[in-house]
Amino acid sequence: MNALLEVKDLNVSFQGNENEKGNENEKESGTAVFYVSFSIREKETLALVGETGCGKSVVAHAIMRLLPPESRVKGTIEFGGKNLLELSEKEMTKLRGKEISIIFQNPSLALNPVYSIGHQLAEPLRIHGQEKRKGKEWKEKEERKEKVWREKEEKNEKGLKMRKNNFSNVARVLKRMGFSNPHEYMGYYPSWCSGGMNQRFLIAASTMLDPVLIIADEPSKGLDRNRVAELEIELKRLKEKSETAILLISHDLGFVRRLADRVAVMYAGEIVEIADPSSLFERPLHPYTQGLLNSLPERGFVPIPGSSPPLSSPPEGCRFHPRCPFKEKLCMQEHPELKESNGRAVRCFLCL
Amino acid sequence: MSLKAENLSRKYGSGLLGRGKCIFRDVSFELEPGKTFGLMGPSGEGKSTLGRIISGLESPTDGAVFFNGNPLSRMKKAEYTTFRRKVQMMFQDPTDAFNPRKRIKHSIFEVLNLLEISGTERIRCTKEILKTTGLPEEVLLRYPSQLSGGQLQRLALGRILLLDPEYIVLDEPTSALDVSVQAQILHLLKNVQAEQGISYLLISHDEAVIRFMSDSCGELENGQMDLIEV
Repeated sequence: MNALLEVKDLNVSFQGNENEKGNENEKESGTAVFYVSFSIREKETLALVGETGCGKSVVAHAIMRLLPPESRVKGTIEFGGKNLLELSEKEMTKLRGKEISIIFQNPSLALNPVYSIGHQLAEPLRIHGQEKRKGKEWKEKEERKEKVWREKEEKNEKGLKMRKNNFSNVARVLKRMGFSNPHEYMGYYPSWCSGGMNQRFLIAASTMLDPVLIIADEPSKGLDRNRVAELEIELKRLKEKSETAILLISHDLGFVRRLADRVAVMYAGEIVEIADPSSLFERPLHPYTQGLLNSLPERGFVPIPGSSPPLSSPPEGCRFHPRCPFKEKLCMQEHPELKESNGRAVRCFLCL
Repeated sequence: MSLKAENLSRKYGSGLLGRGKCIFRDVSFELEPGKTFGLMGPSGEGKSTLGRIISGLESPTDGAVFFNGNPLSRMKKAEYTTFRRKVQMMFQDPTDAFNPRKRIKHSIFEVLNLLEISGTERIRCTKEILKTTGLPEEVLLRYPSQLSGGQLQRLALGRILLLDPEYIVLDEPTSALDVSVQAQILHLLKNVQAEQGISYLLISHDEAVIRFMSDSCGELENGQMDLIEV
């Protein structure tokens, strides 16, 4: 199957955390994502898992080109034959929401509290609808300047029609998401709804224009078990019916195991293991993946000793060696490469 | 020291005209010294509200919370101050527990200033807290946004420990954290309890977490609390 998205040697660093003295010249810099490469095939669900701060969300934001100005992004992100990092902001706006969309982490922060749900869900339709409309109007104005008034009337009619169409599209998507009375929910405000409902509205917004790739950034975070089960059903339905590829970012390993076709484990800004869920969960190779699975409740909450290294000064050699129970001399001296064998990839000298 | 809840009920929207909605009624339990009482149940059943009532941050509609045999509502100012120091609350999202515009050291020193601790004693207390929670000294110079959720939750616990509490209400302390950090925080809480004999009221919707941590537990559902075996 063809690769829909191909990320090659993605490197993201941030500059700008002033030190204690506030000296501009002594600003700290940190590499959040360190030469990350992976691909997502059409209709595939690839999960990115790992500790908070390991760079999962930074990868997602780099793909969407939503990183702050102080970030430096290197490498290539190929999508549909184009390198997303080379597109202009105008070209990227055309792509966001229509071809690639994102479900953000926290629904209470992602939804605007002062606008109704219906208004916010229609936003992708308005943005992508307007692009076409502006082009048409400009041509019409150029060609028929003498019919200005008639054109204005036409424009109003078109706007009205478009608004009606937008709202019926929103209602259709909400109905598809299992809301029995979509017109009622369209008048609701985010504060009137539970976290689970708001999460479903965000999914509805991201699927409004049937994108080919959806990035779900920690969609189950903070939701209780019932809400997570509902979310899982939604994402499964999206996978099966809409045939959308999903980049699923989560630290909920059970959720990932049930949904993903392949899992990539990240640690301190780099991918340390990629495998299909059954081999990863049953026979993890990398010591970090083993530690991560031992932290699960069913394995007795055994923590990994120590904490992740600071991004501004990662350790020499293997980044996991200070916490690794099996480390050898080589692990402290050389940095291991991600090597593939038998359909899975691992970055560890001891597993090769 | 003892902390006891007797027949607690909480209604919302019970004004002059409305009858209000009862969130829970007749909830009673006692926190035993050095033990953990787990409180579980689905979202929206009033677990956090119950935690806030036990910490004195909200009042019950009916019933009372007794600290050392005295009901909170009839406490004198000095007694109430002692209660507020001895019963602390740790919240779900550690990022909300720290001022985003201040470095961590300011948030820690704020508590020490309240306790009128300064100079070398202040540095000693801060170092001790960092040692207990397993954090490096460099975190003091960071802003909350520069630290991970696990580091912030450790700091939140450390800041609480400065007040030498007898009871801590843990409101979903690990639900915003990932599995490996969750395991670390749960073990840290257990170690602190073993060393300092603190009692916990642990609120969580995760049954595995409750069963791992608790000596006794209750489930809040449909406005009632049922005691269940751990």
